[in-house]
Amino acid sequence: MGESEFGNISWVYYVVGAYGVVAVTLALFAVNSLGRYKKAVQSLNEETPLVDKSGKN
Amino acid sequence: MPDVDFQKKFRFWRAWLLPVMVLQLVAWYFGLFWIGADKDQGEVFRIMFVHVPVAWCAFWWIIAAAVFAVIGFVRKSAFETLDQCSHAAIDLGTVFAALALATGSIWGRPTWGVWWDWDPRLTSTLVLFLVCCAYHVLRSFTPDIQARRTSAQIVAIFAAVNVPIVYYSVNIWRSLHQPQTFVKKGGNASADVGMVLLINTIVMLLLSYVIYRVRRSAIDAEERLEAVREGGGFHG
Repeated sequence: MGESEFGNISWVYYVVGAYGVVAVTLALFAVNSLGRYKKAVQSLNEETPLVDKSGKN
Repeated sequence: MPDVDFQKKFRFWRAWLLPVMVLQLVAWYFGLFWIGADKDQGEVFRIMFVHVPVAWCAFWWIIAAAVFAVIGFVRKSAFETLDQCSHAAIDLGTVFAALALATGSIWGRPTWGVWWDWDPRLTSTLVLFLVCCAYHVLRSFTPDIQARRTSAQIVAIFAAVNVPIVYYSVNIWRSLHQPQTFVKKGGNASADVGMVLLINTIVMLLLSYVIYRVRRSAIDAEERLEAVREGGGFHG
């Protein structure tokens, strides 16, 4: 894991960077989707009596 | 209104999120530690096991969005539901196109010596990503829901037209980007590398499908809320 020919940056940073960008972005996207769903269902529960009010959303 | 049913579906797919994420980490383990370094590129070639799957996912979800859009135009009775499917698919397509550009750029720096080049593959991928961004802009700034759906579907179809251009760009034009390594007969990649890449691509597609189902549930819930606020019903 020494220094490489790519300037002074070790290959480790490139590999970790590529995998890290994908992991963080997909995790944020999933969390964003979960959050949007939760927020919309909470508002639906407040605004309509037809929606499941079991609280398990 | 099948309200309880749509919440059950959401809970089902949410429960699959963690297992497929763990599966993805296992697949990455093979690419990061199990396979040996490449004789030409060295260790940075491990980026391939994340870059190629995200690029394939981008293609897959953008084409899926267009297929949903076309079926929606044909089957008017399911137009609203298919619009949700198309919307969720293009959301994922946009994210994966951005990730393909980002990981490609990170790979390009140590292998080509530059972060970016106006090469046909890179430029066409950027155009694909920008068309996906145009989809979201159009969706955000069109207040009428029917006009929003119709115009967004047309842009989704236009985005998918770009996919074959991106895919074949390395064959059509002289490109800095390497040509297809695995699809062509006599490709120079070993069987082990091909297998690890295949595993990573399948697992990434699986992960993206679970995220897609969660995203679709979120869009469904938001559209139900919008329909309630406007005093109409949802017919999905």
